[in-house]
Amino acid sequence: MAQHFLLVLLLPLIVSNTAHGTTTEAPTPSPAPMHTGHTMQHTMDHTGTHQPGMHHTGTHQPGMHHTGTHQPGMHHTGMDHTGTHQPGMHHTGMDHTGTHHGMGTHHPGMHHTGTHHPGMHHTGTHHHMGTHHPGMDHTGAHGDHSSTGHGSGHNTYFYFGHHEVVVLFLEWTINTVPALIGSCIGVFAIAMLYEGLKVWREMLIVRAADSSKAARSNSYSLNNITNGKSTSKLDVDIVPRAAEPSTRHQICNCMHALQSLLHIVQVLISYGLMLVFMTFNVWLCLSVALGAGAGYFAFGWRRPITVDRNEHCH
Amino acid sequence: MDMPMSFYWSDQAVILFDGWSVQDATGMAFSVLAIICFGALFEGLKRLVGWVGKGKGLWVDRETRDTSDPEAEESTPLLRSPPDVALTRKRKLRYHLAQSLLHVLQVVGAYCLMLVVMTYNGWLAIAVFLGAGIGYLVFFADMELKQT
Repeated sequence: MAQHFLLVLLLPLIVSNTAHGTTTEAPTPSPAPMHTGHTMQHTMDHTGTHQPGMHHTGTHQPGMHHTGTHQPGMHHTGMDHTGTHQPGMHHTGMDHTGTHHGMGTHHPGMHHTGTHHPGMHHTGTHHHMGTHHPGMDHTGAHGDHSSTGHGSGHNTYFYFGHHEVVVLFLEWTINTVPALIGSCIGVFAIAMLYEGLKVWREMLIVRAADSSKAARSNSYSLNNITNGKSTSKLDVDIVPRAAEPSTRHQICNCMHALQSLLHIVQVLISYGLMLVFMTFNVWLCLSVALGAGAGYFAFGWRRPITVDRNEHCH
Repeated sequence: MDMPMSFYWSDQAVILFDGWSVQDATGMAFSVLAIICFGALFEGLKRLVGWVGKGKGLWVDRETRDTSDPEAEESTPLLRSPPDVALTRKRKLRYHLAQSLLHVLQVVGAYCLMLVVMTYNGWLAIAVFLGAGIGYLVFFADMELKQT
């Protein structure tokens, strides 16, 4: 059962991998519907640089300053990135080698922290990125929130909005209000199920420990073993060492394998919820929080132990 | 700050530090292995924190038993000498300090793993999840109930 759940979770990852394998060749900028759900926008203001063949159409805004750099062969086919003023931009390790460079989604490995640009070299001719920038030409493109007028790829503040909200995968893009409502309900359900999964795992552990202790109780009398139901806190390991199974047997038995699989699922969902929260969309964040609360309320009354060491960031 | 906001599959990534930049498939394979190992060891670290906490708990019990047992106080007032209590307190403090340092390491490790997932690289995220699973398989094998 846990394996099917894993497959369902992994299927979108596999689908997105094959969907972005196609490369399009469009060296000349052509009007194309741009940025279907692509919120990453950047301003590259290359002052004082030598860049043959580079054309930036669109608005000219202060942004990243590439002062005094020499970039031969840098070919951005109509790459127009509007963005905010980011005085702390640092492009290191940006190395786009190779001719046909159909990147999966957008800018893998591009991390910007700092001011100067050592070692930025764009070798290679065709620099088209998957299905999203076939000669993109968007002048004055707007961000996903309209209040301030500028958009950046990654918001660092909470916003209300439902335009071009990308949640975890590019296919999961929210553009309309019904889609937002549906996504909120889905995220709410996932957060509730996450709490339920945690409680279920605890119950499994308690039940397994109870049954193993009951199996070993025939050699000596223990009067605080219940009759198979999950009890309250059992925080003392009172079984003597000699009666415990060997380490190899402990690792390889079925219950522990199931627990490990459930652990992977729990880690996956917890990171997914964190990434959903990182979209900084107020509605989605509220859904995560309220879903966690509802799940705790619904499943928590059966919780045997209150503190969870397996919770990832404690 | 410009970051990818959805998962992508690529052999190129910059992981946590500027110097750790992956360019090709072999680099990515090694990075995935390294992150799996780090994730597994992180689960072991969580187990270690609990284990040290249990050691501290023994000293806490001893201290509370020493100080809050009225029968022992009345029957053997001379045997409960102040240095004994001080030694217990010192031991408990040492265990608590050790546990606090390990807790700091655990928090740092947890945030680092979160930042690795936040690169949104599909391979790296899978590496984190697999590392957590393998670490749990190895280090949480004796199926003890959770320690507080």
